[in-house]
Amino acid sequence: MSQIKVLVADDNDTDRLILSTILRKQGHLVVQAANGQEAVDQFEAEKPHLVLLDALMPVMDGFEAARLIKCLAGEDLIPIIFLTSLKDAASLAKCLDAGGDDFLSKPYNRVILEAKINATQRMRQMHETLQKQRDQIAENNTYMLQEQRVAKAVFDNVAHSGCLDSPIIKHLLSPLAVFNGDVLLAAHKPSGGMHILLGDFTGHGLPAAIGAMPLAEIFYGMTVKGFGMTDILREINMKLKTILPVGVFCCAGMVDLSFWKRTISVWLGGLPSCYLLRQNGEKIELASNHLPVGVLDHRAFDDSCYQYSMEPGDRFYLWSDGIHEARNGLNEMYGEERLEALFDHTEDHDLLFDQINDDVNEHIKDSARDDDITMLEVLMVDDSEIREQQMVVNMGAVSGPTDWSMSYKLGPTTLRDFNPLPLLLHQLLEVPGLRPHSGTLYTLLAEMFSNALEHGVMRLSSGLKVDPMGFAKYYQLRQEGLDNLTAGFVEFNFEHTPTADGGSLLIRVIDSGSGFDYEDDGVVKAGDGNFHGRGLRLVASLCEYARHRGCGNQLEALFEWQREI
Amino acid sequence: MSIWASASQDGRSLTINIEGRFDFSAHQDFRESYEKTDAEPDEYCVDMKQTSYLDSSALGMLLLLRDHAGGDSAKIKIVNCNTDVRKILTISNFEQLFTIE
Amino acid sequence: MSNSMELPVLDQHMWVELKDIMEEDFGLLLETFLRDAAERLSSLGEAIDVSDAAALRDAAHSFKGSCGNIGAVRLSSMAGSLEKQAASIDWAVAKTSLVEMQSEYLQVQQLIQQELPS
Repeated sequence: MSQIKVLVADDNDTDRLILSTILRKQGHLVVQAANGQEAVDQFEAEKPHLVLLDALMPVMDGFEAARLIKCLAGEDLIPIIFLTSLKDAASLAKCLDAGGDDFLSKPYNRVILEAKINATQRMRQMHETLQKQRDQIAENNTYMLQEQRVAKAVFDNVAHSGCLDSPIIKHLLSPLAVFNGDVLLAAHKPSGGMHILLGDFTGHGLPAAIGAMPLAEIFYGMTVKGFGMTDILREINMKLKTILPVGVFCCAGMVDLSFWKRTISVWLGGLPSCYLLRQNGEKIELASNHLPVGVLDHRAFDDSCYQYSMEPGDRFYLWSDGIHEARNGLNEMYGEERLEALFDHTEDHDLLFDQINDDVNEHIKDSARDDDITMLEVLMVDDSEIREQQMVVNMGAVSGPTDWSMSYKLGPTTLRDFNPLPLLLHQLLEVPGLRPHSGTLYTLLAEMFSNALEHGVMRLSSGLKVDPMGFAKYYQLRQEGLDNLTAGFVEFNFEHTPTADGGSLLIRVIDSGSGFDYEDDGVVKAGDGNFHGRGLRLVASLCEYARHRGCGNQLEALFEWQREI
Repeated sequence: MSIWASASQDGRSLTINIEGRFDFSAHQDFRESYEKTDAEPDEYCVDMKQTSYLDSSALGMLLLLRDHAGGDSAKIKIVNCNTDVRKILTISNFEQLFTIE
Repeated sequence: MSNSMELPVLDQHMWVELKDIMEEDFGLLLETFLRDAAERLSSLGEAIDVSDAAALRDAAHSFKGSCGNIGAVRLSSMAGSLEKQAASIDWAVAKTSLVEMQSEYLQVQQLIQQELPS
């Protein structure tokens, strides 16, 4: 038993002397007091670990002294043992009621005294340990709260509202958003129209919110550059799949609105069904038909969307499951039925959004829960109404080259080791108007390139490609030819010119081969019979025209695009 | 909430049972049920007969199981779902990744 | 007070134990007792003189304790009786009891002084 400081308070000299001697011989430090007042004073001055207090003392009795000492001790536990020659149960109980932690009867028994000291010290140490742990927890908690504050600030900056304040949008973002990972983003497209995304990250708290940052960056970055919705979704999916651990993903709904074409495209993965509400009251339910974002890898990701027409006055609703899961005091969920009922019974669609909010809040008002509602309503309007807002976006955001030409010549080493297509595509996409067409452009480049490389430079005959065996042989020859390539080139020429309503891109691919005899003016007809001209027919179908030139070693295609308003 | 796993006689299939709410608090137990087993099963079965409720963190746990079981080549059945559980799995289109009966 | 007379003047067993506890401070304890006893007896006398029952009770209680501590069990018992009867005592009886106690004390004092180095 390690040394402690003990306060002995007894008005009887011999009592005090005996007790102090016993304690000193046990190795403890002793401080003495002869009455209640002295006991309190000594306690304050000396801060003992244990107090032995006689019940009956002059000036201030033991009970009063005990009360004051306990007050002075505050939240620390300093055990008090009452010294008493009283033996009746009522008196002994009074000692404990007065704040004593134990009592010791006279005459003093050394063994019992030592045992009681040990017991009270164990109690004191346990209390001290608890206090330390509590303080540590409180400190950790303070740090955590501070970190969360920082995270929230970053989150607010990144997931900025974009054009959520557009007059055609009504929205609610859960106040718990940063912690439950809800994200609501909206942005004008430079070509006209609007992208909207609602994301509900899974995984709890901050880890969920962390995924929101790359998502928001990709959404805004790519939208403003004119990329299409499916490209953006693919990019987001790939990013999240890469950075998020398995088991953390984002239930999402993305919308591409075109006011000019009066259409809506919707991709829904993991969110509850959303509704398209027509002015006449017809309600169309769009159910989630995809896995959430960040689950599948790039190849398996399905970007297929719902497509609907929308007339001005039609509305579209998107929400996270916070509404459906909102619970009242009896732990009943708000649920889909109630939501549907609201839709069916609200005549004035203008009031519907607020109705939903009010109704859900009414439902949860008896529970202790905070509201956790994230939802959005967007109204289709005539495109003239929205055009003014868009002007602002168009003017600042994006300017790219409109009339230019570019030439790229690839020699044998490059052809052998390097796939030039992504680089070329990247260059082409510097033209904002071409960005929505990145898929088509890639196909054009790929087909024209493989035509030039395989038939032109390597002189492979597509006659081989008649059956699976032939295909295998063809590609084997292709790989061998490529590995052994020492001479030859493929050259890309691009010329882009703006037109009245958009632009036109002339692509010419020239190879070092000897060409072939082409018929007539070399125009590739889209509906030709021979199947091994498939690639070129595809090119022809995607462009204004595709034609052979030169000695057959040049292929030219014209791709035109219209500015979407 | 309690979770227990039992392997088939030949050890080729492991069935995991979940009783009660399948939510974040089940995280450790669920993982241990398939990580700490002697069996090396080819296929898994998650029996939800006594599962009252499933939330998004449970979906995450199922994905972790799938990852453990081989990712795209994993064979996992989810059986005996009640209406609520079924609904959540449907909204998330998890039948694209798991066989749901 | 008759039952007290059956008790020894000093409890030998306690005496031995006290010596064991106090060791070199045993003498200090005895001296302290003697000083304390003188004060207590004086207080008892004063209380009886002014017929203060509360003071009588408190002084008797203290004296009982001190005597008990050093093993003067008979004297302790006598003080204990006085304490119990203090509330309703006849003051003449009290005076008599005090005289008896003083006589008893002299015996104790003698035994103690035998222990002390001179």
